[in-house]
Amino acid sequence: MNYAAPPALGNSAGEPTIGVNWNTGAAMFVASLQTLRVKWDDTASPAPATWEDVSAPTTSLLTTDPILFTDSEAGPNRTNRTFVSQLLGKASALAFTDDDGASWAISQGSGINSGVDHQTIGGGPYAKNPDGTLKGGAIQRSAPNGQIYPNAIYYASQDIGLAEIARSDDGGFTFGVAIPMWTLVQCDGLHGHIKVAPDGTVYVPNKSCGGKQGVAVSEDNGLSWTIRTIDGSTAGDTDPSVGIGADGTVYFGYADGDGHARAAVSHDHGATWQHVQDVGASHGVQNSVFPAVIAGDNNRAAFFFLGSTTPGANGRQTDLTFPGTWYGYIATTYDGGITWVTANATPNDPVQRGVVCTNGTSCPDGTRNLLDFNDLTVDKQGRVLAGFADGCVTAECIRGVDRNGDGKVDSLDNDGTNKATIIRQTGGKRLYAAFDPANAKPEPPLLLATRDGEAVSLTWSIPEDGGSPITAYRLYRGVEGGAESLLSSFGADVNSYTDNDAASGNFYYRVTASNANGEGASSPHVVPATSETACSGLGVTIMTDPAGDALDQSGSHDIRSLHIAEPYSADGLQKLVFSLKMGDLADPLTPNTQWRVYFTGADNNGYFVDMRTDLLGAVTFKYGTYIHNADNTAGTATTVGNLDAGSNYNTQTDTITLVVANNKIGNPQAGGRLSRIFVRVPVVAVVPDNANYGSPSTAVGYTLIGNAACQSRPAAPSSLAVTSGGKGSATLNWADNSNNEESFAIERSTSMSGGYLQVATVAANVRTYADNTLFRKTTYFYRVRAANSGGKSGYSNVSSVKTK
Amino acid sequence: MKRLLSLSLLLVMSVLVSAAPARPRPEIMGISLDMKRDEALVRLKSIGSLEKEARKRQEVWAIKDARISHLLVGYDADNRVRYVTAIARTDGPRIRYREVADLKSAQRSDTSGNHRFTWEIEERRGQSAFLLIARGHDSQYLDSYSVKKKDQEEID
Repeated sequence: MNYAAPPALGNSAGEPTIGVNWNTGAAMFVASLQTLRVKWDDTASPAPATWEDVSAPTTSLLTTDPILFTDSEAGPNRTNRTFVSQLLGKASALAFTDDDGASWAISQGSGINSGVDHQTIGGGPYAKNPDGTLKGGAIQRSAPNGQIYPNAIYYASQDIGLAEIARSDDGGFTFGVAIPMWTLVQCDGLHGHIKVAPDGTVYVPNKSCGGKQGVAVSEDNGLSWTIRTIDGSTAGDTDPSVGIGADGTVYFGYADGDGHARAAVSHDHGATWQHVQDVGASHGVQNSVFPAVIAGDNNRAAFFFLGSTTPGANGRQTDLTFPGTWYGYIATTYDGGITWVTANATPNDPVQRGVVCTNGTSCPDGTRNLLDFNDLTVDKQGRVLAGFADGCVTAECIRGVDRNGDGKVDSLDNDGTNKATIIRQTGGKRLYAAFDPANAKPEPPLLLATRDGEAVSLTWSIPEDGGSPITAYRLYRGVEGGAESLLSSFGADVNSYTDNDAASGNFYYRVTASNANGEGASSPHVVPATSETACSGLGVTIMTDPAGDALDQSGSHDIRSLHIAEPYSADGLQKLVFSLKMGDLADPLTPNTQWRVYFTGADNNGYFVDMRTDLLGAVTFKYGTYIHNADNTAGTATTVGNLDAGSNYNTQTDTITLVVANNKIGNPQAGGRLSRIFVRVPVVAVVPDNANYGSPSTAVGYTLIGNAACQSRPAAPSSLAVTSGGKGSATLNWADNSNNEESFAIERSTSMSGGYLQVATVAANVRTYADNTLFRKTTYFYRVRAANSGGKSGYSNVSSVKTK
Repeated sequence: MKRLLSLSLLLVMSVLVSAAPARPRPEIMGISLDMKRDEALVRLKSIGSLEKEARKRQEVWAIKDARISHLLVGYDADNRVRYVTAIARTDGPRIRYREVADLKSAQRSDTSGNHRFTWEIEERRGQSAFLLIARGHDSQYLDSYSVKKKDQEEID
């Protein structure tokens, strides 16, 4: 189950880290300057999440790198203390909390005074000698409150050609002297996250040590370090990760030099490695970044990574035309790394379109939105929780719309966001066998259907398996009010299908999962999104409902479908348009009736919009709030006021149109999501028809794109001409062919065929630009395009110049 | 003969003492802080060979020297040297901490088996403030030492 932070929180969550307090179950998530606390209500299914900003004052001001660590990953003394560090020049603003952010203590910051970068924090038990003393001469010290902290806390960073680490012996208040782990001669400077084994062995992974993936290991509480490498691996682009089982088994996950996600296992502190294998192969993953590993029982571990089935190292570098799509995958082993089962954990919602640039600060604008890593942790019940930044959150991006019309979906069509998101395990075995769920039938998969001409592409998620592995999926196709048939059955490893024989009907689809306990409940009916856009017409189809199922057999009360649109509004007002299609909406309307749409807003409050008639049949359009009942259905509804202009009904098209300004429903913004949408049509005290009512699925929802995104894209500029100016300069002129652009972007390359980087933007209606940042006697190629909130135009012609 | 030995010993000691500069200099083996990259490359090519480039404008140079095996050089966004780190050889003549600068003026920190001396040199006569850091596992001989600009960080 994936949980995105609400609109007001976690909107700058590149390179997040996550931890879980085992006592409270709360997850702690750092999203740049925000430290977020996430709690789940596990009495409901799926468990609703509550996000709160619990940032410490000292770690919410400035940063160049955020990091978070919760001391719950290695026993026996899980303190559940959460540390948050913000990099500040050569120091670190570090604070920690023992109550999930309700109160914070201020730390010295770090032990490293030689300048810091890419810092990481970890901790766990001390390594001990046979006589019980601490190895390396470590001595635990009293904290200011007089208490002895049971674990060692480590802070590592790199600069001036060395990676160094410092240890705190008083629970993070102060740190000792920094000790070099390696130099650039041995390994790349940047490193992955510190992990501490139950026996106190400390591991710091590195993507490039002598051309291989490696890990620095200390068996004396960080005093001395040995570099150990994985034979057969090659240096990669992103930090590898270590997870450690209860018995010290080390699971090493890495994005290998060829881009494949691989795992290796060691039982001797990294001296030797075995079971090296490609964990993304079952899904055809050719490219991976941001590996993150966590382990539980001796033989159980999970490995989270972003993967793309599109090959090519350019997908991890600066190529804006890389056409790949990235999803979050989680591989899990229950046999000590001998075999791994991999699932696409974001199957209907890509994390990124186009390149995931790993070239650091030299990345083109908008391609390093995810920054450098993700994180993975485990809670007390063995659930895996992955923290990641989502770079693709709008409906268009999720659907893979070619926004700039250049014939491919790539970085230029990505949202470039970094929204805080958590994947929380809901089904299957846990990392702690003691908490494996009892056997039951699988939950419904989430189904996504997209029509492309006569073909319909279908993908579905891997649902909670009820404690018994999923053995099959069944895909059904039908016509509302007509016949339904089993379209096809699939094995457990199949999560997509293309129906090439879908031209003849307006079909719906549904899918079920089966396990040894039988066939589980079905997904809701899904009608393919046929070139739907929220910008025009009825908008996006949210749900459909069978024809003729109204109890009173009245077409006026027979819900057929619900749609949401966000048409562009020149006045800048943000508004949503709900369109409710009925079976046969007849005049006069039934008195004392409501046609009401309920939903949970992006702020997690309940709202409704409706058309209603009074005792005499007079029609009004209203909105209001409601409070969930325990079963998540409507409870107490309170009418607040009138809906907006444009609200009406049409008996010719059987459509009820409900227009509501966003500020009446919690003011959701682009990227915000309405969920648990359901419809009821009560007539006096009887409700002839419902849709998605009873246990409304969170999957029935809508993610806002914002009305501004529906502005038509500007026309492409043309007639670009570049002339050489003075030494090392050039002047561009072009024709402005649009009347709604907000800016022009100027791109430059030293090659005509590629490698263009945006070098400047100029305001609307500007038709010239002087580039004074050029090398002399060099040929440059330029192209220009216009942009507005609706997207970017195509490119102008390419024009070149050789500088003087 | 005995007097000659004593004189020789005195001479050696005076050489060692004089090897410790009175005031630390912002350079190692001719590579100075703020030096232009082009100038640094000329000097580096004359004393060694480029072994590898690392992210964020960093270079590893293998050095032809009896006591230093590598120089690690980082450049800032203006392509000027922002730090130099020298890696000492462990298989030949070793470098003492005191050869780098006067230990009396250093901040010293020791953890069992790890030693670090840091000199903070303030801005003077147009020369930016800088740090000199020497570190090692041995109490007498260093493993590496660095010069870096005091108030400049290269972050990712």
